Amino acid sequence: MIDFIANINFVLCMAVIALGLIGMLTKRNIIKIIIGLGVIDTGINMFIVSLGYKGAGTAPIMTGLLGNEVLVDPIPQALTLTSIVIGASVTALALSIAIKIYKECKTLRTDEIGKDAGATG
Amino acid sequence: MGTIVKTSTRAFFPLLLVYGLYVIANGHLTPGGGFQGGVLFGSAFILLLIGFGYNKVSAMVSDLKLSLIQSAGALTFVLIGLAGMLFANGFLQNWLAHELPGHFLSAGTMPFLDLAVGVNVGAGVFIIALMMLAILWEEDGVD
Amino acid sequence: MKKRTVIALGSLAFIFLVLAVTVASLPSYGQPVMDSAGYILDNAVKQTGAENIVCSIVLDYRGYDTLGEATVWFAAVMGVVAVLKVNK
Repeated sequence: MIDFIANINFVLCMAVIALGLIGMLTKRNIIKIIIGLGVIDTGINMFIVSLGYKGAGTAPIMTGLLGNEVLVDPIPQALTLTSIVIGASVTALALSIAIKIYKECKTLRTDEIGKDAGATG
Repeated sequence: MGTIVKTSTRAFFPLLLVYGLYVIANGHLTPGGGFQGGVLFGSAFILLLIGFGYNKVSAMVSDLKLSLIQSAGALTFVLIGLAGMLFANGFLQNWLAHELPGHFLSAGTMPFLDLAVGVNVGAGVFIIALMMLAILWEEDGVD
Repeated sequence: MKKRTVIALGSLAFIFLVLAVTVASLPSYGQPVMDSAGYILDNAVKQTGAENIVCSIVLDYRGYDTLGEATVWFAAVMGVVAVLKVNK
């Protein structure tokens, strides 16, 4: 029932998500925290796409098929398209806030940002 | 940037534009579609921005026109959907005629929706790059 | 700093262990339990006329979700312009 070798793809996707979470929690630089967010997004997209695999199937595109092939599930691929665009939107907004923080406080480390706030606040 | 970067930017810019439009236009026949081709189209302009310097390129485009182009792309998507309410049963119904599969016009409204989404995404990527580089490069004097 | 890092890594190792056991008990890779896209794979080329089935799902069977996603992208670009614009 619990089979780590047959489901090695799913276990490795969970390892990528866990590594991204470790990076987000233990780093002090703002850019490295945003990179960790991107790694979590990549792991989640890989997991969703690999849920739809079927046996020895090919891509679900009907151009030039031979007629007797198994096609993989196309619905998780359509959901992943939306998820990638949303990940890019969140990264763009987070980077613009990081640029503003750098212009105000002259540093990118999270334990030195709040030192001289309050006067400009 | 140096001479090598400028020469290869001049060579690659039309190739990237044509490749982006090819991926958008054949979205219903081969892998690809609106979002993928739109990002390729916007990346051609970002290559121009990096290769030739920020001052020269930003003097040729204006923010207002790029925002208008992006809004036109998003509005075309909604207008095609509303036309589906007039000519067929519901919002975003496929209301154009079908031909034999394999042609450009064989899928109804899908190529035109692809084009609208491609313009939307491409203009948006270029606006994001312009805004970020305007603030980051204003004090370094990078040309 | 050291004690905090040790607690963080320990709890993350526990979370990863729980996730790995859960995910390894899913139906095995390559044999899904449900046949959720049978109708779409059989009837997509006749009903929409497109040969790329993923594109026909994104733009014809689920076009409303693509409208929502284009709105999210538009809002993100508006947010970047609003934060970073310099008025001279």
